[in-house]
Order: sequence, then structure tokens, then C-alpha cells
Amino acid sequence: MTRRPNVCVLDYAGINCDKETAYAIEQAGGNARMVHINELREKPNSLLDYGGLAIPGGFSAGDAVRAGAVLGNILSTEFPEQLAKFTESGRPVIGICNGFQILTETGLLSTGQLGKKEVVLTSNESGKFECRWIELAVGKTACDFVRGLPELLAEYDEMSISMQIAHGEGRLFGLEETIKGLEQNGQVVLRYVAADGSPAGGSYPDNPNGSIDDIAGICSPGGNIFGLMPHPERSIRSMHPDQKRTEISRACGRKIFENMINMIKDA
Amino acid sequence: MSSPENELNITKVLVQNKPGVGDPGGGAVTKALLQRGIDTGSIATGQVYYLQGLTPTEVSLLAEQLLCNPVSQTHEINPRTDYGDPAYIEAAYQPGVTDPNSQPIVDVARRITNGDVTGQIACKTAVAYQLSNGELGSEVTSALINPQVQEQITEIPNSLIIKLEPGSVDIVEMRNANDEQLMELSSGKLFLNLDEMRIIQDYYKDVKQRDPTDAELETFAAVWSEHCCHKSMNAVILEIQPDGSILRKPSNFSKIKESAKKSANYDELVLSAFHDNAGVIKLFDGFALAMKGETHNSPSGLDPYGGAMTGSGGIYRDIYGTGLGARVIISTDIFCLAPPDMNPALVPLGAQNPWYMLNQVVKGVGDYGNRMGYPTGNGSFHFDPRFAAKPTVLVGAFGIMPESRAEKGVPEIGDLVVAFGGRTGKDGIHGATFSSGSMTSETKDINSGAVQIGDAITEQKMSKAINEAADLGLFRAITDCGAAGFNSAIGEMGENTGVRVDLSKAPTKYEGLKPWEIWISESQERMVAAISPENIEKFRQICKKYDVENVVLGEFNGSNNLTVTYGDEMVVDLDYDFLKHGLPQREMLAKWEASMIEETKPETPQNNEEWASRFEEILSHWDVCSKEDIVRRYDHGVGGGTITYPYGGVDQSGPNDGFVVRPELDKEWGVVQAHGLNPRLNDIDPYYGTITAFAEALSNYVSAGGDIGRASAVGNYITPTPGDNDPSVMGAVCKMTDAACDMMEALGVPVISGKDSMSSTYINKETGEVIKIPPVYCAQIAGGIENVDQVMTSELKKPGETVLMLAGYPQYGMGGSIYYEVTGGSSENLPKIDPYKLKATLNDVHALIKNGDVLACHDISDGGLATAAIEMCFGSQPGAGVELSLDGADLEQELFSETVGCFVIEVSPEQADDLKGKDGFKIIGKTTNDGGFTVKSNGEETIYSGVGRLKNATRTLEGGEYDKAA
Repeated sequence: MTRRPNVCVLDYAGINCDKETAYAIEQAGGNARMVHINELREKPNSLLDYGGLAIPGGFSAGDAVRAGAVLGNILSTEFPEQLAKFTESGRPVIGICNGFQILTETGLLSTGQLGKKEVVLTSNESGKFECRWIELAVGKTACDFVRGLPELLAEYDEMSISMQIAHGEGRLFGLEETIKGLEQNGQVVLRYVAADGSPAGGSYPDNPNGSIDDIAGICSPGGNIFGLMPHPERSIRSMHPDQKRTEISRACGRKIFENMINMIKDA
Repeated sequence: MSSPENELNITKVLVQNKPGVGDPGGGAVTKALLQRGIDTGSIATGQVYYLQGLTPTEVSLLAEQLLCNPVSQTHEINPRTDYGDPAYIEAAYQPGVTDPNSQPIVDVARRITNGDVTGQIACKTAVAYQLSNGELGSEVTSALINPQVQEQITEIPNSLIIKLEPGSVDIVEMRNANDEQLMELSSGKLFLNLDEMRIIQDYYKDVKQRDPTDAELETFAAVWSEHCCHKSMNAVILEIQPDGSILRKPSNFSKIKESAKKSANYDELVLSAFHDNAGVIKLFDGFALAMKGETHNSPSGLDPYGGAMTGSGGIYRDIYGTGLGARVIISTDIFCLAPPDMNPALVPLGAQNPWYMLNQVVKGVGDYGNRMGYPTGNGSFHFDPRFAAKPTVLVGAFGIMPESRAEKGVPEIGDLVVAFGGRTGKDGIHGATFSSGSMTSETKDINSGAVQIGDAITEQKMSKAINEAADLGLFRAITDCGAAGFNSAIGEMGENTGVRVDLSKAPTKYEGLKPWEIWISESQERMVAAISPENIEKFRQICKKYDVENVVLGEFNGSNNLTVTYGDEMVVDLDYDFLKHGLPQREMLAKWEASMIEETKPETPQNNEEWASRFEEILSHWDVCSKEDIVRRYDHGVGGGTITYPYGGVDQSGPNDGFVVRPELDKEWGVVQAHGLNPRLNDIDPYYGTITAFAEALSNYVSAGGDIGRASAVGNYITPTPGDNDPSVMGAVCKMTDAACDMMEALGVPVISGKDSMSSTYINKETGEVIKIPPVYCAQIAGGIENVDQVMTSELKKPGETVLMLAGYPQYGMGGSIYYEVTGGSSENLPKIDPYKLKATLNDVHALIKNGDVLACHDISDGGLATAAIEMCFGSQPGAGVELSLDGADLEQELFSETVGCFVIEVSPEQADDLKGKDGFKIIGKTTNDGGFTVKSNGEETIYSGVGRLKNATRTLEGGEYDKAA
């Protein structure tokens, strides 16, 4: 199939990684459409016209109350049927950084159900915002968003995936049994690791925020809703600070968006 | 259903983290207090929300749905609070000060009530601190609460809704005032001098034949303020000669403009210079780059967080309001502050604690820039105790737009005056005129209206609306509301046609603002545009999509008159001719007098350990030490186009010289940006200090991959308050201008924008003590790079295999060096750069970089050659080291003289062979993989230290709050 699927890139006051996210989707073979929440308010069902949904990073509503809380509330209370329909149909949803925070505030991550919240992204252990490149490994997961990434690393003879983080509230927290459940269900998609691929073990800066079990990204039980704190869209055309790592970083970033587009095409 | 009685009922909601979640906010506060020497033990924090206009059921719903996330938090409605407990502190913004968090909460609350409310819904947020005991309560309170903008909540507020006493237009009896009465009118409010007051008085006597309104006097005060019309930079200079005679010279501003036009790049590159909010140059593919720098010193002195925030917000709006609208792609921040560990007893009365100052300006720039989504890619810190009361907080912004939008727009008769963005409040009233006066120990108490808090999200959504409207060509002209608010924005925009506006239409934050207050308010996040009537509907649709409030205030009318009403009431009625030309050009005395500097040479280190520890002292100096922990609080990768980072290399700890970004993701070209300033040298000699600043900016730019043939500059002056009783300030300004002009003409790089901030004199009203900052000139450079693959970074790429070379023509001089600062040395002999030799070096180095012949490049600045060489190891692979082979005739000088304009480059042995005979290139050593820092002097090993040990020395900031979280 050669059709370019339409992807809704959600916009709202404070969302600020929209351009690069749209660019990444376009590069991966999708049509990125910027849709402001006010446009969606006029035609709520138009959400279902899209094959996929991307919620970019930023500071929606200025991080008032908690990061993602206000836009998470808007999505849950104003578009419950549309979102349920959208996600239950298996369409891919990606939330990056603030987008991930928004999805946890709706409950869609980790439970796949609106209003059923079991994890939260809270203040970094350091109490401060931090921007740096970190290393990631793919967890035991069937999540289609990361399909082929381990093979890509092997192909490049690399130990880890490099991506940039930039957040103040990226520490994933949940009850012990919740986290265990995520692990067992294959919902832990990405973990922070050391440069040699060994576990970060909670130690800074490999684990930059104190996230429980070094978790950097999770998916819904169905695997079609994916949230991550690192920014794959920044890998597409940025350089890595260690320029030698630029190529693998770009390849990994691109792969995630290509997977998303393929998920739409395969649906 | 809310009833009117509920309006008076305020509900308090307290939200806290559950025990297992930890309290990073509390931890950060505890650390920050410890830095200042206040050891409280642990502090627990909580979020407090006061809500008005909601029923108890609605409050519960809001708390459950929004305020509290049950996974990690608990909440309590109307908790029993013992406000009198000295261990309990609750901090909030004062009523009327922007509280950016409250509006989104009110919006959600409104949805929960389904609009079914009779009264107004209001919210106030606060932070609760619970100390383990109350002993330090009052000390902690004064450390946590800045009385300029914050308050301690000591009881449940009666109402959250602000209503002011309404007022109208007052007539000020001025025509019959004597000189003393004129100055009384001006003092502390208008900041106009007697001559200026007399000119205004004559105008009302002879032309107007009436007395002025309060708003008209405020209009003169603002339009004729130092901030808006740069009286000092535009003044004719009367230079006092050694024999006492006076030489009349053109103004500094006219000299800058003249030299800019003469510089080689001007005709080729410059699209707009000096007459718009920012200067604009050509990039590639029909894109143009807008560039601007501005200080926010006085407000930052009072409230560093708010001051830095609003400084950032203002500079971004300058870019939006350049030409017919540009998009910001780079944010920069340059701070001159008191050393954080300055003896608190020496901090001037009325000035903020230096640690507080540092942390809060960083937080302000971070909180605003990060929310906007602009990469903060370049900046620096410069420390001197004289900056304690008058810090320099310089922010820069760079933006892109199509070349076709580069020229400043001009309204046509019949165009509408459209105000949009944030609402108008009492914020910042007298900010423009305030920056004309010096700060005194009293300023903190009497002028707090000059401080504002920014609301980044209001600006962020406004910027989206501007981008979309600009792309559709909806603006005939656009500008931001900066100093003096509507007054300067509308006033300036109307000067070719005349304009009439009705202030009663302006959306205000609360009722009861007086017309003159609306006219000069400096509420943030507001813009003004001229839009033709046929485009207004399209513009309003865009604003609606992004939730941007907008209103038509009036129209441009061909009257050549500035007419402002409040409903039918006349507020301002002035003719432009007088407003623009009534102020005579100032004449100012200037005489630079160098202070006598004794020659004191420190003792030369005698052995390896002495050398090594002296080097460590240099590396740990506040100006030299690693700022990585600060830089990481700024997002430098947002936008997805960052090519080189402030800190790069294998473990991201290698300091780079410039910032490179690819603003259009589908293009190969990018923008290189860098800066330079040196208050220490400017203090000794403003001419050579400024030459060095400019040279350092260009060197940083070239070191990152830039080509001076594509570069332009932004020049900022920050000086003590000039005046004829102290001609030395203008003397220094003239020296700085001469230097900038000489650099422009020699290097071909024009200054196309900038700003002066001449009010950094502190006066202690009680003791009469006067503190003047060193005169500062900062050059920020930017230009296009054809292909971002041709960038350069500083970390060694092939340690153990490569050769280190020195590029450039070192001009030694230890005066003003970090080496002398840490050793107590002093000298007036500072490096005197030859601009023409500099040009040759910059072109040579650029050609090598572009050709791929250089593996790593780092320019020499603070801390000299030794510091540049060791910094090249930091971002390199583990084990990287250097071995320098110097001739050793004067090793201190060779290692530590700050020979700006020279570079350390890493090249292959073959490349070194090619270059070694070339003028301006010299082999100075080799790279190693033994992890060592070795210096051989005349063949003998004189210094040996380890890269790890020296890197540790650069981690000065990582005490207290800067501790790694691990």
C-alpha cells in the first residue's frame, strides 16, 4: 500500500515539540496534520478520521498543577467516547515527554482505560529540569513501536539507543505490584541503561530522573498506546553530542515513527 | 449550583505527595537553603489551592479530577492549618502579581460547573513548607519569600477577586510651577531632568495653552526616557582633552551606524539594521535571520526570577515583532553576578543574596525559555562583587523569517490598531522610566511596581497565532509592548500617520485601572499590530483557534496626532512633531581616566605540585568552572535541529564554543551563534576590553564552524549611570564604541542591533556608598552555515594519534587575567589584539575547518592556553590527555595569558607537517591517551597532572543545590 496515512498531531497552549514531531512523521511516510484542541472541540468525531495520534512534548497549560494534568483532564472529560473508540480500534497513539505525561494523566497509560490511573510521572528525583542525551534498551515487549530496534543495534554493532531527554517530571512511579504487572505484561518498552547497555540501576545520570526500575517508556496492554520520556523526534535531524553516535541515533528515532506508520497501514 | 453567598466562601485544598513518592521539591529547597548557610534539616512541601466561586461538591470534583493524582498524592479540603506555627510557611504571589498556574485551573473549574455559576471563579496557588521545627522559621521565611512579589499567607484570604478604586484622568497643574516644583513632579516617577521638564512646561504654556493630563506627562516620561530614546547613546559627545579643552564628537550611536555601513559584510548581508526591534541578515534559500540582545537588570536586581523571565519574554516578542513577524530559533543568556560565595556581610543593603540571585535568574530563564520551546544554546557567567546590587541579566534571541518579511512594516491610514495576547494590569508601571534612574537601597521598597512575573504560556500561544498570521501576510505592521506598554508600541507605530485609540476597550486583569495606568502598563505577553479592515476577521479566527484574546483599540487616521481616549474622556492629545522632535539632542561630557594599577607579579610556582594546584585554582574560579549543571536546566535540543551543544563529546562534558542549529529541518544549512564579553578587561581598559569581547565572540563563532564573511553582530552596553558630574562613564562608552567600530571595519562584521543599559550604579541612601559595575560590552555573533556537517566541536577526536597546534598571533598580557585574579597579581598590561591579524587567523581556521582538516578546535579565553587544552580532553574518550611542549621563557604567560583570538587545534601529524611553516600556526604539543596533562618547558617536564583531577577542579558549582542527584 502506498497511501500516506493521516496522523493527528495534537496542539494546545504550551505544546512546543509539534514541528519536529510532524517532521518525523512525514519522514516516516505519514501525513502529519496539526490539530488544535479547539478544532477538535468543534468536531470531536473528526479524531476518528485519523489513522494515528501523536501527542508531542512541551508544557501543555504551562505544567500547571502537574505536568500533563490539565490537557489530560481535557481529553478525558471532553473526548471520552472518541478516545475510547480510537484506542480500542487498535490505532497507534504515541505520547512523547509531555505527551507521555498527558497519557498517564488520562489513565490510557498504563491501563488502556480512561480514568483508570495506575502510574504517574512525577518530579525528577533531583527536583530540577534536566536536558541531556541518555541511553536506552528495549524491554521484553511485543510493542510494535519498537519492533526491529534490537536488530538495528546489532546491525550497527551498538550497545544502546541514544536519545535526548528534556524534562522536570519524568520519574515514573506506581505501586510495586503495578510495576511488576507492567513487566509481566510486556508493557515496559524502554529502559534507561549505561552506555555499555548494562542496567542503569537507578544511578544518575544513566537514569536521569530516578524512574522506578529505570523505566523510560511504557505501552498499553494492547501495545498500541506508547508513551516515552525521551524525544525520538529530536534524533531525526539533530546531531548527537558525540558525533560518532549520530547515525545510530537517527536510525533508531526514524524506526519508531516508521513503525507507527506501519501500524496504521497494517490495521 | 453556585449561589452568590459562595462567592465569599474560599475553599482551601492541600495536595501532598504520598510518603513512598518522596518530595524532590522539598529536597531542592533544603539544598538551596543549605547553600546559603541555613541548615533546616528536611523540609516537606505541599501544593495549596485557594478556590473561590465553587460549591463544596465542585471543589471535591476539581480536587479529584485535577488537583490530586491519587497514584502519588493525597489531598485534604480545608485542612486545619496553624498559620501561627513558626514551622509552617505558606508562600504565594501577592494579589495582582501574575500567577501563571491559576488560569488553567479556573478554566477546568469552569467546565466542571458547566458554566452554572453566578459569581466569578478565582484561584490562587501557594506552596506550603513544613519545617521540622520552628526555630529557623523567620530566617527561612525571609530566604524563601521575596517581598517584592510574594507574600506569606497568614490566614485564609477574604476574597481572591481584585477590585481597585476606579479613577479617571487627572490634570496636573504644571504651567505655573517653579523649578523646584517641576523637579518634585519628576522625581521618583518621571525621571526627566529640569531642562526636559521646562521644555514640556513651555509646550503647554505656549502651544497647548492648557495643563497636561497625568497620562500625557507619563507619555513624555516614557517616550523621552533613556530606555526608549537612548539619550546617552544619541548624545553629542564633549570629550574633555588632557589640556582641559573640549572636543565635540558625534554621538556613539551615529558612529556605530556609520562603521556598520562601512563594514564589508553590510551590503551583501544586511536586510535591516537599527530601525526595527531587531537587526536582520540574509541566510540561505530566501530565509533571513533576526537578532537582538537586551538586558533586564533593574527588575532582576529586585526579583531575579521575574526579571529574568520577563527579560526572556520581552526579547522573544522583539523577534516576533521584527519586520512582519519572525519565529524564534535560539535563546541566549549572559549573566554578570556577584560570586555566590561572596561574604554576606559585604552584600549591599537592598540587594539579594548572591546564591538566591544565581539560582533564581537561572530558574527564570529556564522556566520561560523551556516553556516557549526555544533552545537555549549559548550563554555565560561573569562574577564580580560589584554586580551584587546591579546584576547584568542579558538575554538574546534569534529568529528566522522569509526575506520578504524582513523590512519593518508601516501602517496605512484606515488600518486598525489591534492589541492581542495578555491582559493589562498594574504590572511594571514605571519600568521604562525606572531603568533611567539608579538603584538605591530604597528602590526595593518603593518601586515594586517595576517587577513583573511572566506567563510563558500566554506568550507561547500568542506566538503560534503570530506565526500563522504572519505566514498569511495579515500584518501591515507588528510590534511588541515592551517598556511603557501601549504608549511606546502604539505611539511609535502611529508616528507616520497619527493614531486614535480608546483605552476603555483594552481587556484588563481587574477593574479599576486608571487610564494612564492602562496606557503605560508593562503587563507582559502583549503585542500590537496594524491590520487592514479586510484582514481583521481572518486574524480573529486565528486568535480564536489558539485562545488568544484580541481587541481593536482604534485606527491609524492620518491626523499626525496621538489621540488617546477612555470612552469619551480625553487622555492624551499630543502632536507627533513635538513628541518626536521636542527633545533636544543631549550633550554629554566624556573623559576616560584609567585608574592607576600597580604592577604586582605573583610568585612563579616552584614545583610540579604548586603548578598543578595553581592550575586547579584557575579551573575552579567562578568564571572558568563548568556550568554544565546550569546549562542542563535549559532545553537546548527542542526544535529537533540542534547540531552542536553547549557541552558535547562522549560524556557531554566538553564545553563547546558556539551553538549551531538547523532551524528548517528539511534543509542542510544552519545558523551558528556565539558571544563574547570581558568585564575584567573592560575595567582596566574599555577599548581593549571591548576589542577582546568582540574578538572572543568571533573566535567562538569560527571555532564552532562559522564564517566571518556571513556574520553580523549584536552589541550591548551595560554601564554605570552616566552624567556630567562623572564624565568617566561616557568616556568608557566612547572607548567601547571606538573598539566596536574598529572591529567592524577591520573584520567586516557589522553590528546591526543592540541596546544600551546605563543605570548600573548603586547608591546606599544611608551611608552614601556608591558601587559602579565595570563597564561591559557584549558582542553576540550569528550567521548562516551552508552545511551543518561542517561544524566543529572542542573535544579531542583521536587522542594519542594527533598533534596540537596553536593558531593565531598571541598578544600576551596578564592584566585582567584569571591567573592574576586568583594569585592577587595586578597589571595594566592586557592583551592588545591586532584586528587585522585576527582576521587572517579567523579566515585560516575557518578554511581548515570547512575543509575537514581540523579534528577539534577550541578558542583560548578565560584561563588561557592551559585551560583551553584541558577542556579539549573533558569531552573526549576516557584516557584522553595532552602533552604541551612550550619554550618556557615565561611559562606563566604562555600557559595562562588570555590570548583571545588564538585557537588550539587538533590535527593529524600529516596536517601538522603541512601547517607548521605557515604564518600564525605553531605546533605546541601532542594528544595522548595516558589521561595526563603534561607540560614540557624547554624540553623538561615541568608540570604533570591528571585530566580527572583537573576536571574535578572545574566542578565548583556542584555543592549544595548543584549536587548530582545520585
